[in-house]
Amino acid sequence: MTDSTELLLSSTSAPSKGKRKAREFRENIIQTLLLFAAVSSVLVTFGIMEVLVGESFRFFINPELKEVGVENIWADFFNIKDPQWTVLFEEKHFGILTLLSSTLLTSAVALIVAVPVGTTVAIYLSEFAASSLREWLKPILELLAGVPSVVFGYFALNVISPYVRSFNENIPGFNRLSAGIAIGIAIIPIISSIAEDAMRAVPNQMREGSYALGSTRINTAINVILPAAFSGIVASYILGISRAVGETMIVAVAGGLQALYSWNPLEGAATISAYIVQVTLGDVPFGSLEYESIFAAGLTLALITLALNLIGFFLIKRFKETY
Amino acid sequence: MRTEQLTSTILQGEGVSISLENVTVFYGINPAIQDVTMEIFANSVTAFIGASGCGKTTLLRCINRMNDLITNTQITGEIRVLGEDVRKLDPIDLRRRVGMVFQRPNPFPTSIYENIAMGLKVNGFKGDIAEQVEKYLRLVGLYDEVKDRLKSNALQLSGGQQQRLCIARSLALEPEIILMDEPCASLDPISSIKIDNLITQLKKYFTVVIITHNLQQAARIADRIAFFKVVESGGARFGVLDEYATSTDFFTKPKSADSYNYINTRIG
Repeated sequence: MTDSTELLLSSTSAPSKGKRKAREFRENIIQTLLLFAAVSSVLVTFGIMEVLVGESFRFFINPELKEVGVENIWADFFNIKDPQWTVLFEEKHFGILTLLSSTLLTSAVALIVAVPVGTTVAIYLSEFAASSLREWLKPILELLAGVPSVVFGYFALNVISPYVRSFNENIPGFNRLSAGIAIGIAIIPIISSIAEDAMRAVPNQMREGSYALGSTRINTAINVILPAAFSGIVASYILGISRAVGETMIVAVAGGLQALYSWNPLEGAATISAYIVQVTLGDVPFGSLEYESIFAAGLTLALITLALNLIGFFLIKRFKETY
Repeated sequence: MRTEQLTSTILQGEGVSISLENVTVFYGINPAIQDVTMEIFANSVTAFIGASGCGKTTLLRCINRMNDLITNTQITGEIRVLGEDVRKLDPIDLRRRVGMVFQRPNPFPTSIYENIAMGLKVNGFKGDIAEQVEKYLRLVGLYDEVKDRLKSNALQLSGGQQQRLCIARSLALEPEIILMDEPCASLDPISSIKIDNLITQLKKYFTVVIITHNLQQAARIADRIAFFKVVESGGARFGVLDEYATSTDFFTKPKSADSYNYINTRIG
């Protein structure tokens, strides 16, 4: 018995010294290739951050700032009392809050639209819809997420905006309310789809516990399923906000391109992303102050998104249910 | 017919709480349990025992119409709860009157207090909710353990505490009947004994129907035992009620060969 095993072992391992080396070499190459694939996306992210931070840094230390009348760029950039963004004018100011106010305002409008609608759709799909209905309703809804955002932009401009203006003709055609509503529609599928997944992941025994107490479906959805799926629902909101904050084409098409500081959604004004588009489309010379300013604005946007993702990450961790 | 005879030999209780007449339950076209006729008596503990897959849970869930939630369920025969045909009752009302405790503790991911208060609120309870919560936490012996953290999340409790909370939650609605589907299956022996003692007290106020695989538990707490067995017929496997007797009779002189074997395989 033992003899035969040894025989077997030696017969497979004896002539393999060279083969083994070759095999190990092959394995190493494959492993290295896989590592590169994994690392490449990280490298790209670092590369993007390097460009953003590097160009922004060059902007903040640019000696030209003094020439155009900006004494203290930090005070000007973070001016919250009277922010102005007049980069393309003779007398320049770089108050980021001017653009940020538009970004926050359109995102807020979008959330006011998308959170209630998205959550309601998720509750319906998860707790009320028959599975046959859900099977074709959910893909259609997710199709909405695949609509190019430029289409939403013109939808905002040609459909929503005229409707908004039908209430008051003095409202400009380019306004942030219309753009915000369109962003809201665009992010409904993100919220509803992720929130629905979270709700369906709630174990059935929890539903049964609620029904066994004489709860109706809506009681169960509100009192049991929403708290149980809380972390996933919050994650869907955070993802929705991230998308709304970074949304570019809709605001560039329908939200207006003037850099105005205003919290009135009925006015048109450029968001951070709309401003970046505007500068990139114009003939701003590479390496100029105007060119560098878009990186400072872009970095602000990146930091907001990063902060949102961190908040989302901690909320999810904090409220993760163990059932 | 056989079950009718069996039923008639049973000591009569104070009154019939649930009556089943020729009840057969199908999932699609497959019967899960066939032709059950029995009467379950008020203010007593009735245990359903039998091998897995004999339809005990299915039958139990038909009593408060929890099986409505499973598509393709079809029930023939008649189930009466306190004299009323369950099909004619609103399932929401029925479930308030017929509480249920599940195999795995399933507290809601809210506070301990809210776990009990929620059921009261959705049923439009008129009295003092805080008082009712305390009363039933005391009844299940949980109050002293949790009185300082009523606002903390119920999922932080141990399994045994969670299960007692779930029992308190259904008792607080003051139903007439409590259905329990292996309430001690996932609990340690000490938590399990606590629940057994609780069930023995409960029958003063409620009718208890309990499914258990633990014959010692059945012998300890049940007044009557309903033994179900799996039969195979024409390629289908389904459960039938094989013997229904008082606990003493069932364990000392089982009538059917299958129940004799079931009891003895377990002990031996």
